[in-house]
Amino acid sequence: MTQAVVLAQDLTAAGFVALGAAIAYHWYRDRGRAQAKLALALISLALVAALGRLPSSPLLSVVVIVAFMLSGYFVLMFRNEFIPLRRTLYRAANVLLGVSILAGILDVTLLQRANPILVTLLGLVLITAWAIFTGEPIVRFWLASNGVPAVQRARMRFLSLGFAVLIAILFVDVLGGSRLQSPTAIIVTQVLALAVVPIIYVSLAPPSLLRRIWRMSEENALRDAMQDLLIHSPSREALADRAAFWAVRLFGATAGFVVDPDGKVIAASGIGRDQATRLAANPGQSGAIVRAPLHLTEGQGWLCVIAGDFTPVFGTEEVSQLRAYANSVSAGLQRVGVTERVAGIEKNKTQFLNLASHELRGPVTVMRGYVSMLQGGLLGQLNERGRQAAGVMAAKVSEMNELIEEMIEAARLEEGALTLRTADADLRQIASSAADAVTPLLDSRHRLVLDLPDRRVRVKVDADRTKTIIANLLSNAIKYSPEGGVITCQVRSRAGVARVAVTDEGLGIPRDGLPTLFTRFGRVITPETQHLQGTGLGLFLGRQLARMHGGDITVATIEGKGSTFTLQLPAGPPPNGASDGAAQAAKNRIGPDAVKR
Amino acid sequence: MATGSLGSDWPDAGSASWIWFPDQSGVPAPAWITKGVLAHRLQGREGLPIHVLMIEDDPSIADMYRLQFEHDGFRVTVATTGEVGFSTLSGQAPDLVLLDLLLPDRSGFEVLATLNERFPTHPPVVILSNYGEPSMIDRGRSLGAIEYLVKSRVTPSEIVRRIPAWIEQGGGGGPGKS
Repeated sequence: MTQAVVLAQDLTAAGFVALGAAIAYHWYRDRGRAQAKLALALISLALVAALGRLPSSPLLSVVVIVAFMLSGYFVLMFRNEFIPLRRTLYRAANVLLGVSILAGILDVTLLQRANPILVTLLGLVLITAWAIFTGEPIVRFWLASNGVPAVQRARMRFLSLGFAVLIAILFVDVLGGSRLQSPTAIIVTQVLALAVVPIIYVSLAPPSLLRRIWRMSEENALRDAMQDLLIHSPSREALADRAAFWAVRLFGATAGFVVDPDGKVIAASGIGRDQATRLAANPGQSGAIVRAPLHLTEGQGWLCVIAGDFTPVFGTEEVSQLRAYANSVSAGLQRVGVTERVAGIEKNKTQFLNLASHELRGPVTVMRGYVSMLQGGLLGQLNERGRQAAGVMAAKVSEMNELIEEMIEAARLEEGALTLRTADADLRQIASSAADAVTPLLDSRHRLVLDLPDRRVRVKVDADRTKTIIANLLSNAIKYSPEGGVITCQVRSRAGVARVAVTDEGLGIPRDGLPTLFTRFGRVITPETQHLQGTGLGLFLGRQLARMHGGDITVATIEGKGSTFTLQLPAGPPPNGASDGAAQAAKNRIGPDAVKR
Repeated sequence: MATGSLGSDWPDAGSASWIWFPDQSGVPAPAWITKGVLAHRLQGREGLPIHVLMIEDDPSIADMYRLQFEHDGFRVTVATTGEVGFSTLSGQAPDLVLLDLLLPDRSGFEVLATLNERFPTHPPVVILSNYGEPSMIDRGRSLGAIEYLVKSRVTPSEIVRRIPAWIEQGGGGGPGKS
């Protein structure tokens, strides 16, 4: 049994020595003032445990007493690093340390053989002083652990628990006196003391498995935060705000802020922007700021947290977590930056398109007006060549005008500001006026044939825009028939679908050009068409507008033979419920079956 | 089946005092034309020539329209700001107001709103603007403009052709007459 007692005592002593060595190593790896105080406390405790196993001597006893009291005192100093003690309390602690060391020394030297009650009382003074030094921090850490992240909370509680057990053992030991000197009692207290070693150790350097278990409760919230960061955040500011908020929460800090590479505070949580700006300008001024770098293309920013009273209690764990989080924040900010730049470019482009188009309308108005006056002879009579030139100018100005209108329409479409003004209309009339509009583009080699049914083709459309679509199809047919030929504009209605088919005998479209035909700025350039001008907006707009009407534009083409573009629109019911099939059958040269992409 | 033809602006109907023919610089119109068939079209209040007030700050556009209008026998007053427009209206009231929207002193919409307030029986107003946004067209019409046209889509001669109808349509003028 005696051997078992000795073994238990040796094991406990070894355990505390190992704990002291471990904390010394941790402090060597990560040197902070607070860590130093805790390291001193535990190394002192290890010293007490180790020296206690040596043969007793008065000098050794004095050293043990001093080390023991210092171990408690440094726990208080460790707490002092987070919440500074008031001056009076600090002085009182120093006095208590001096008095208790003195009492301890007296106890093991001059009064060694005095009345056992006095010895016990002196021992009680020592233990009480030690309990005050460690007990106050234990209670404070335990209370403060409620408001900090899971890992930190567990670590603070384990530390508190470890020291609480030590206090309990010491009190029981001293007050129990001889009644607890039985081998069984000694073994039990030694085993309990030994159990404190891993408890305190995990509070200093918890293994990753324990961290994972502790953190489990926060994992979901963290995952959501990361997701927020990488997917949903709408703007740089919003993302930075969330990053600051989550950094505070993850770190258990009192406040946090994000600084961009220019030193500007772009988000702050738990702190005013002005104060954050001041702190960002002098980060070294306050030791309580922990910074993690944000690696951004425009330079290095910072994710900063301001340590709370008890954070960071243990240092590296939270700092490395903050750095990992800062990397995600960097990625999120980069992505938002790119998205915002792209959106900015897109918006600028639309604004430019809009502005340029409106600004172009002014000069075009004047040119168009004067050209029409020249043609009308109002500015004096022109000779034949002059009249020809005026005609060309009129056609070109009109072309320019159409391009401007297309640009404005495209800008409107992209802004989502394009609304249709639909009303009941006769598609025959719309097609006729579109044909009239393009007549100036015809030359002697072209013949425009308008093939209309006898009955009204009722549609509910934006008449101006529908006219623009058809006029665009007709002007394309003219433009892409450089050798001339017949251009047919056929209007039909069947089975609830009204169709305008524009057929030419021109160049046709190569098969590989079809995918880009209806895209924005998508022009099919071939050696035959490269000299022809256009924005590549007409068909894009035409199809978009047709689709807004619930219709579409399709194309059937044979390269070198010509193309048929068909505008389809939902047709209203025929008047009096009559079918116009007869008129249609008579002239149905371009049936729906011929229409394919 | 129809084959389209160039809808030319030529010749522009005639004028109060001159008629145009190809290759000629114009001849004075006979009195029976001005007093007879075309009298309704060409004459404004009290038998005087139609008086158009153009509120337009771009001189190149104003000059162009003035040329066409005067050629067609109209009287034209050009106001380069809304304020000048108001003083014209308080003097010799025009038969029609052509209003630009982008003016140096205020927007055309403000001019129109002020017209409605200060001159409840003001002549019909036609907005001529470089802007063709549907929202602006709606606003112009709700303020009582009888027509809203985008400048680059019309020529002066087309405007001249439509003026008599606008004057007739405008009647007493004022908002809500559109």
